Amino acid sequence: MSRIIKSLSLAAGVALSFSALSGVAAFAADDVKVGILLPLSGSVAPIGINNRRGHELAIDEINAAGGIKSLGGAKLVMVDGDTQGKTNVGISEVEKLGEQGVVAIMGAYQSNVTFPTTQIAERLRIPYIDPVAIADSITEGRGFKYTFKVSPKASWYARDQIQFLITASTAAGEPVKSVVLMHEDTLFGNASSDGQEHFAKENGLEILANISYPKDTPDMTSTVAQIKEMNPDAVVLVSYINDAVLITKTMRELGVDIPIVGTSAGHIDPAYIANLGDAANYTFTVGEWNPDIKKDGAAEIAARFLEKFGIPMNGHAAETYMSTMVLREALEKAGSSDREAVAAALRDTKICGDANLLPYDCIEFAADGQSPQANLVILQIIDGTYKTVWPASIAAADAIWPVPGWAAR
Amino acid sequence: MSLRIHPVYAVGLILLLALPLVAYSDGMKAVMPSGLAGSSLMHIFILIFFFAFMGQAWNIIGGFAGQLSIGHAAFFGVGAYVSSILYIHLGISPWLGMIAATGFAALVGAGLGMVSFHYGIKGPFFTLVTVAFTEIVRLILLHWEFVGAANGLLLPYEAEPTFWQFQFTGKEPYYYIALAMMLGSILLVSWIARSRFGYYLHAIRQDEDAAEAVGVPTKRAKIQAIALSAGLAGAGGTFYAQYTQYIVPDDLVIGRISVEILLGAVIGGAGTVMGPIIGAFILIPVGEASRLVFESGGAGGSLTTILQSDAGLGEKFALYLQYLGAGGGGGLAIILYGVILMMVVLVMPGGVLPWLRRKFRSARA
Amino acid sequence: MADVYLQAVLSGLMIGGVYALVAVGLTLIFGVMDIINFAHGEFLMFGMYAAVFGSILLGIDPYISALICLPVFFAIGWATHAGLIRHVVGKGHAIQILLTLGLSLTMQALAQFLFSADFQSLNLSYSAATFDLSGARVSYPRLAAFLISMALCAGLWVFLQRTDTGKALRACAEEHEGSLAVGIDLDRMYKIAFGLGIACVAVAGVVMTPFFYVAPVVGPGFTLVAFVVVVLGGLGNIPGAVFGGLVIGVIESLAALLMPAPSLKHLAVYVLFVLVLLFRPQGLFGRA
Repeated sequence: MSRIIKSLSLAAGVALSFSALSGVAAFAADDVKVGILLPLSGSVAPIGINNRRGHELAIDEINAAGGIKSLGGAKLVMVDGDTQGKTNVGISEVEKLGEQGVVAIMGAYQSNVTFPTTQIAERLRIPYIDPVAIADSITEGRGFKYTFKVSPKASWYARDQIQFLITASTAAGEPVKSVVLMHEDTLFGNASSDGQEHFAKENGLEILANISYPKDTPDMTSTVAQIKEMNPDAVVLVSYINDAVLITKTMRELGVDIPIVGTSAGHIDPAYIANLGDAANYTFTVGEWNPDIKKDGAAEIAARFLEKFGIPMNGHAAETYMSTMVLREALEKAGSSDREAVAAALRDTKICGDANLLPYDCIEFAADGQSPQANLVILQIIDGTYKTVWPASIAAADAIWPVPGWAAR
Repeated sequence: MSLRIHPVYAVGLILLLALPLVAYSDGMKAVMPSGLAGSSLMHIFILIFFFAFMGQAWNIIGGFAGQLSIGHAAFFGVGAYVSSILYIHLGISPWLGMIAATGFAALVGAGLGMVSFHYGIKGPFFTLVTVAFTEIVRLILLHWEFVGAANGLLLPYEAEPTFWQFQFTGKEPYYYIALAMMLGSILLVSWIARSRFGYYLHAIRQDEDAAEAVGVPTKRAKIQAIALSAGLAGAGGTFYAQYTQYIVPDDLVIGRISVEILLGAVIGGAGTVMGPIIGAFILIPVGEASRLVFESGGAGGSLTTILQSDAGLGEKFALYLQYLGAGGGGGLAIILYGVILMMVVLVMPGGVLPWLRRKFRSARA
Repeated sequence: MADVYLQAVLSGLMIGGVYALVAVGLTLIFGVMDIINFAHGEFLMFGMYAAVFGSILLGIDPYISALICLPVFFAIGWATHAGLIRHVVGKGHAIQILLTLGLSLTMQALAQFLFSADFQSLNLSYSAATFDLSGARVSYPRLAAFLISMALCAGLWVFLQRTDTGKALRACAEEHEGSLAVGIDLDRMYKIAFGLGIACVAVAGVVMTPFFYVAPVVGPGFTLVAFVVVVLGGLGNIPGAVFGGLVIGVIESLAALLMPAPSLKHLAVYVLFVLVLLFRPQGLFGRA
């Protein structure tokens, strides 16, 4: 008998200690909770934290301007869900955010975390906005009604990279004929290079090699030597920051005079320039956005971001910023913080022209949840800053092509 | 076979069976910390059952037989991929797929066991073989187009799934399936513990050479153990794939699932029947709680900015302290995990369960 | 085409030298006290951070840092043994593996908390300097890393062969009870061995900072390579570890060229590893 009492008191003790952790929810009655699902710790935390900044800036501005007017001035409140960069933690966090009553979830930066978390959100009927994760299959063939993908598809990154290569080189009088594709061996690398291979072939470029390299390796010398030997007209890379820096360093060491076209991620990270100094110059990368694009207000928002965080704004932050604005638009339209109403409003949401910071006309959502017009830009590092060089309609500078060799710099 | 269940466990089981009935109630929402009621709470328990099950699978070879494997992710992965491929390409129900997954993973485990133990690989060498093996499996999966390579496999979402598709709209079915799997694994392992096979394993763990000398068929027993262990891990893989609807080679990276599996078993008590269960019940809530309690970090700005700023050394240090106070780079929860593991290894090397038993025994004496 | 292979062999040798230094520390620790140190790579990582912050904040050149880190990390190794490892000596491999695994987890998470997951790297004036060698480019920092690693290995070897302490260490490695019988302070020997092992691996990290980045997660990759090297060279065998390190470096580099994708270069190394474990577990140089 006493053993049963002991067991019950143990159980009670556990329950009590849990409620001790309850804490007091510090939300006012009419606040609207917004779930932010990102890797805030773990090895991709720097990017997750940067993504979060775009949300934070947008929410500050929205609240400062009076909140959601159709909800009586309700303020938006960020509720963080730290995925730690892991799938099963991401799932736990989505569940928690759902229980905490968020009106919508925005996340999760990584495609492999976005897959299962959008699915849970679909089951729980929570609107899920994907600002940055790019894998095509996030929206393709799933038939989801609650997923809203602001980011371009992975294959579109490739489409625009190849398009740029052909345009720029043809304009300079020497069209690119051969490329080497090189990508890191995770989902991001694979998804991107699949698209690059497709569009390269479609445009008649010869793919000399499609190299999959192990992420975070200390030595890329043999592989880069191989590329030098093959001598393509351009190298298209898919790398995170560590590898991007190492590969460029190795190319300089070995005197490989071939232009680099990166695929955002590592090549668009300010740390790329910080770590390479002059060696970063002339690198091209496809990007989601740049402060210097020809859109009214772009430079101002970038300046506000820089002032608030002390860090320059990049494409990811622009995407998360605009995604938050999309949510605000939907909330205003729905006039309610009911998830169904917000989801319905999102399906009809459209932000165009200069109200849309991103380098294309309208953000809206097709039946499959993808934003159909989401285009990319091509940036080149010139004199230590990223400059938009393509497409011509919003470019701020001309691409420098051909790229000077290492010895000539 | 008499099954004496300790009253603690009996009460626990009753509570667990009843949990789904109260998880969504307002009372639960009031008692639990923000966001941990309802569907979220169910998810946490599903995770506990899953890791308890996987820990128990590991326990057979790692605990009872004393062969430390850090490579169970490979068996888990094989199982998950087998059932998923069968479902996606051949439309075979994942329930049958789970059986195939168990069999396939058991074969792989037996194969690894046969090769390793035939060549007399023991102790830390065996551990290293399991590490290398998992990496080899991961790399193969990473480059094999048929199984999706680096993209992994996305299991198709059914808006209105049937039972045979092993997909459910609510959490309850997953909950009870996972609970059943956990209970099944407990029954299996307690049977093993009382059987001759179990005594063989125990003898091998204590002193393999002595066991060999008295006629224990060490090689055969170890192969059987690893096959059984791997098979169960494969079944767990199927469950995981069906629950998360996504399997990717990244899940097999050393240091994640492989370590998480054995962490629970070791902390709870490797080589005991209930050790892995206790371990999972400790670790998962600790992980969840620590994510609640500790700041994620990043709120204090970026370390790189502090480093590269023009401030003087003293000022930089002050900024750095601020940064740490705001959570630094995050990850305090994982520090906790590591410290707990080390403490348990040092203070209670047999695990929490044997330690508790000794305490209660001496209390009663 | 020959150029590319020459390049691969050269760069493989140079990184192999660093692998050798990392492995030498591991094999010494195992040889003397039978401990498998799963946290080995984490000490490398902290060594790198020391060098990087020393350079960024105090302007200390990494090669100077290497000199400073030798005694500092020897002391850290000593303390780690005294405080932690000592408790599991002789208690069975499972416990040792679990303890050092826990240590590895804790150190990684601690590094992340203290330094964030942002990677840090050095951009020194000589980081990009290279010279030509029959058509292949040799990077000065990588060559320096190689030479320093080899020098340290040689120094350690001489220490073990010629000095009294070194001989005592070797005695411990070969015969524990016998050493006690002749009055060797076993615990002190263990502390020295652990200290030396950690000092080696930390300096291996330091000399890589001119060309490699540091992040909290870089450790396990090097620990894994070190295990492969140590098994190849024979547990406790220092020259074996050196040879093994160079061999693995070259194999890895050539595999990047010859395998269907560089991403699979580790596959070659792991398969070799398993083969050695199966068919010659005493390593290429060990006694059966």
